[in-house]
Amino acid sequence: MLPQPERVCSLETVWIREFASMYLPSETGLSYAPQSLRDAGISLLDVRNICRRGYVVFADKLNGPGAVWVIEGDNNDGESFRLTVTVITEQLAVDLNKVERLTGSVSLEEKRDGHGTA
Amino acid sequence: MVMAQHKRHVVERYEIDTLGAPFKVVLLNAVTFNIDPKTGEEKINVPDVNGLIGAVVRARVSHPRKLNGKEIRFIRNALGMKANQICKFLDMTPEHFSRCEKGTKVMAILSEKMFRLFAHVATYFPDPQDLVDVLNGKTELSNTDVTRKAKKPEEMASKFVEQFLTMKILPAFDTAEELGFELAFQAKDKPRKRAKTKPHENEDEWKVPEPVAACAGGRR
Repeated sequence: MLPQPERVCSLETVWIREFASMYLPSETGLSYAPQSLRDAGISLLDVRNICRRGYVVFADKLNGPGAVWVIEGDNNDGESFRLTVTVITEQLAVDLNKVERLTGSVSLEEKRDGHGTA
Repeated sequence: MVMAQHKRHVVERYEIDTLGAPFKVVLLNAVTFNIDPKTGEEKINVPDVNGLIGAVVRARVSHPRKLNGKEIRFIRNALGMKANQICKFLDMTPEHFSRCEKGTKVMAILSEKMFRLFAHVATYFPDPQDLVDVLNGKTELSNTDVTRKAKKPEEMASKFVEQFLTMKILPAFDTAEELGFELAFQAKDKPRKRAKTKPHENEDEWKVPEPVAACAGGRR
């Protein structure tokens, strides 16, 4: 059996998946620019699904409160996207900064199974 | 501060065209609008996105107008489920289900009722996969969060009969009449800890919506 790559940012992945699955009170929630979703051809539903099933592939602490995370995942319909978000975990606040469609990439299932390219 | 904290105001009526729903969804007094001071970009904040998606699904499956392909696809994606999982439950071939989603075939009334029922119940699970596991006998219902969510079982049961067992799905309707739902976020006034809440502990919720423009015959 091929050695499996160790997944980075596993704690962040667990957090964002929980965030996307939880019922959250009114003070918190997801903040985003509607135009950026329209431009990327992605819906809020897709964003929720990506956060729910995707992986945090990069995380960097900001010098102020919060951190920047990059999440990759598919929208439940086989289309892969990369989201860049600012997260303040203490406030349960997620701010969507950037959305990119991943084209011609190896499917995340393949990546998970260790068959994808690095 | 990274998050925009100033110039925030709650929008009275916000038609959320970015939700991905193939029908009109209007959010009342829930969406906060603000301008990012760094980028100058207009941003909105939607509370409880997951709860909103569940409420929209419940609203649509409770409405008698026949589901079209786009709506079937939206509901499946809202549940975060793969087509084959739904097909197994509906005892339908994946090919036929795919054609129903594409709109080249029409889902049979009985299958649609089962699909609506499934979708309605699944929205009460934090992860709809739990419902599939319950149906497949992999887990007990008591091991899931759904039973704790049901606070008034009698009320739920009567709604169930009203909405699904006696519902007449309307295959014919005036296409000029746009289907839409209004939802309002009901937040409790009392102070609450800023903590993640499980569905059964949560007191905020998206209010049961009313159709904006019901199709011919309306809600029964």
